[in-house]
Amino acid sequence: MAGASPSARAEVVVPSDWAAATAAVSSETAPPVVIVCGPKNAGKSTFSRLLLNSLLPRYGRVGYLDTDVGQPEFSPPGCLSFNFVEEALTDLLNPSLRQSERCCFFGDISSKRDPETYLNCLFHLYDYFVEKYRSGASEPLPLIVNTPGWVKGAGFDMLVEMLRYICPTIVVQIRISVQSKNLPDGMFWLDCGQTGPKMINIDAPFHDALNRSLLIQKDSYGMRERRLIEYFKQCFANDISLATNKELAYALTSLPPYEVSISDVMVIHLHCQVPPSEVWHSLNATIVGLAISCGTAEAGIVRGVDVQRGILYVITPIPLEHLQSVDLLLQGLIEIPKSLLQVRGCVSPYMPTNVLHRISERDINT
Amino acid sequence: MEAAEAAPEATGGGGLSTGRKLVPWSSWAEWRLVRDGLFSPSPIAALRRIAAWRSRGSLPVPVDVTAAFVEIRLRDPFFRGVMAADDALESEEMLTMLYSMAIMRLVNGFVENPHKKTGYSISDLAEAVGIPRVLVDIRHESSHRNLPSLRLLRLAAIKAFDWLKCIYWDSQTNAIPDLQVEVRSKLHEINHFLKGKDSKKAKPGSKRKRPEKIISRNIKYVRRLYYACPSEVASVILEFLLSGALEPSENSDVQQTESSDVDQSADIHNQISNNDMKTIVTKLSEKEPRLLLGILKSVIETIETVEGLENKGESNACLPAKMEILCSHVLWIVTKLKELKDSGCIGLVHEIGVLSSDRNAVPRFCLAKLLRKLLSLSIIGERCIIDAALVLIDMTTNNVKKKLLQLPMLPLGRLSTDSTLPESKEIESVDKATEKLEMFKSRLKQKDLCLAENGTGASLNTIVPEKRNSWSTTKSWTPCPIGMIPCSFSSAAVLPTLDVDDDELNDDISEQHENFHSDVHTERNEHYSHPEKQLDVEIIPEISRPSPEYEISDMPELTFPLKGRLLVGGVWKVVSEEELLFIKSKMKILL
Repeated sequence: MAGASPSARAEVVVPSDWAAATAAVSSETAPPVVIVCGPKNAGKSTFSRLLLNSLLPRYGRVGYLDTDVGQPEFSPPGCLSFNFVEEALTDLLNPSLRQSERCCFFGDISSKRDPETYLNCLFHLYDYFVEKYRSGASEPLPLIVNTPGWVKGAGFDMLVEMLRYICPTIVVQIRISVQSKNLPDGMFWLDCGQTGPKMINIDAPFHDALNRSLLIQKDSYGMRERRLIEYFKQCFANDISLATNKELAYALTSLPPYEVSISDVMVIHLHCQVPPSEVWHSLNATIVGLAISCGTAEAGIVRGVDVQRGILYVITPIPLEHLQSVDLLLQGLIEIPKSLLQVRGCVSPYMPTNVLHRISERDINT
Repeated sequence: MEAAEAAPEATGGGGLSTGRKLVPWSSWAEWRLVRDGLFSPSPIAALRRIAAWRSRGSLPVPVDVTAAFVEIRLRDPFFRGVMAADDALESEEMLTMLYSMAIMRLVNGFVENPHKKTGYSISDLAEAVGIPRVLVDIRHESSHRNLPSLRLLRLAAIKAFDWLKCIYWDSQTNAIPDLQVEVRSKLHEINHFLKGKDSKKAKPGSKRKRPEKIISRNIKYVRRLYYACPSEVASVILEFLLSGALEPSENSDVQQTESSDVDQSADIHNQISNNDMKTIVTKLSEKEPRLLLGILKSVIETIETVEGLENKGESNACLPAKMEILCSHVLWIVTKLKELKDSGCIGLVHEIGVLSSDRNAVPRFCLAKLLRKLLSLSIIGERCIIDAALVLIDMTTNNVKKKLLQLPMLPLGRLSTDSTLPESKEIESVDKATEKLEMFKSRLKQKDLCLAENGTGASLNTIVPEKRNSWSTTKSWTPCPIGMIPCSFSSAAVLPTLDVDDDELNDDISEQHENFHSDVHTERNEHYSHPEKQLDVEIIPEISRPSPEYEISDMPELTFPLKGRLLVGGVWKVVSEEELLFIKSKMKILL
């Protein structure tokens, strides 16, 4: 993440309509609740960062509700989180990891597998925000809600539910030049006749020669993998050199993990049914959410299971004292980065050679 | 010979391609078990395992679809036989839909990606991949027209199943490298060239490459195999060590040299003499010290297996001889280990910084665990094991060594083999128990000191922990791949048994890793996080309060100086039989 930023940061040019939009939002009389929406790769996250930085000087602190489980802003992939931000973001083009105030481990990179649970997580986080920062005597906290780029079909329905539940004061819609991919214009989530919030429409910032907004194709798989790698780098103190993934992978194999008795934690499979007899076959060497029964979650790797002694070995950047209340292991479908599994001399057994993967024409002919 | 030559490292010889794939199974053995289960009359266990695989992601399409077909068959009265035909679990319509969907997913799973990439039609691609035409037609029919008839679908399902077996299960089976054969042939080749040094002069020019190069290439290869499957490679090497030793060495030497020149491939099952094997292992362990730990683990496990056989009363003339050889190997390996440690090729867990991101850092092992294991072997009386333990003790700090050497028990153990009196056996076992206890305690004290210095260890002075923390940082961890755990005594990486203990249905799937530990471990479970405390709290007060120091009092040399006595708190105290029995029963839990 940090690698690309220094050169890229110099090129950040804020389009005029974006500047106008952030100015309009930050000059609202009351602390706003802003929802940023639009198709994928239109620049929602970038705009949200910009907006966050422009709200900070006036309010000093801003809430950020991160609902994009595929590419979260502050947490590892698969999480929805509420964040309390007090200092400006230095890198406008890339997400940065930070400790969330409250985090739900949804366990997949898209909400499509379980829309109901997804929305419940989202509502839970929003309720938490309202109760803590909007209903007290102190000045209410402004909130930015970044949404996923899935705006068609079931994704659209979920966005509508989200907008109806949150009732934002401002909705910023980013539009791209391919009209068919955009959200409907106007207050699409309300029945006709209802009065809605302020709408701001802006264009995606990337244009081609004909001044059409362009979508930048992102390597989302690679981005998720890098993000997880960044996340697990936090397990180590800064003085250890971890310049390459190989060094990190080796360090992870030699890091004394946390251990917990199997009887002290409960395992929940979020998206699959796994027979009780197979639970450790399912969990060994996978990424899990480490959660407290009724609260926040973080991510970790189950790096080994000793069934006879009843011990789980877990790697996570969470400090030990915060771990003590963790009693849930949530297994989703967040794939462990392959580069963490193959270290010379320490290759994970789940990374064998000679795997027949795809049947190709060549195989048929021989 | 030719086969080995034709497998150069560059192309990843012997079919071992360098390309690694993330798969949901932890070993090819597990994959084979599931394969055999799926194609057997009772596929339930295999289907359950595949459910676990599915939850990990990265499940190959052919596995997914085969499981689907097997599961549908289980619901179809047609395949379940006459008996079950009465109770209609699923209606025909439901079965029709299930079959159609499975076939659709099969066809799409194989051709969807190339279809998107190339734009060729589904049927063209299916033909290229070799999917039976009827499946492609059913996919088309059921997605765009009426559902096909159940009769047709059943036929098609059989075809699909056979096709999957051929195209995936059989092909993959053939692609799995036979590790044992590979290791054997490599070892033979190394041996051949090691010994070939003298005979080379006889036929100059017959070798294109220098033997040293070939040897080091083969060593690298064995090392790679070891990384892939540590326990398998270690057991093959141990097999060689044992078979070489059981034969008169000169005979096999002659046989070896003769046959190796004649036909290399035929002598794959021949022995390599013990001395040659030791040279090979030395060379291997110079390159990869962890291999030595792996072999040591194999040896100790074999000793325990043999012990188990002896305890069951299975009298076998070979067993004592085998045990002797095994014990001598333990000594030899431990000596090698010390040599490697002295030359800095391998370190101890507490000596080097706990964490390193340097891939070339020296591997480490946990001395205390290994020592504890050796002392807990019931054949502790064997001379070689005592010597091995002493070599290990020699590696510890001087302080501990001095104390332990003062213990007059160690030579006593040798008497045990002759003595048959039950009483003397009793005393002997108590002696051993005491010795182990003392050693264990001093180790723990030392470890505890280390921890206290680092500020990470909990204070052991508190007898009962006020609040039990469920999470803790693992102590004395040795680097091992993600998905594996360090062996409880040898520090070598092992693939853990992941089956839930009390599930009987799973017994057939369970692999044989470390199952002999289970009874000990279950007893230890609840006290696991504080074994040290348990030691202090439960055992000692039964006899007397321990004094803070553990010094060994001087004893005059008597014929049976320790009869009826036990070293408690540094003093030899007279203890009653009941007390001894009590201690003995507790020792099992401790060690």
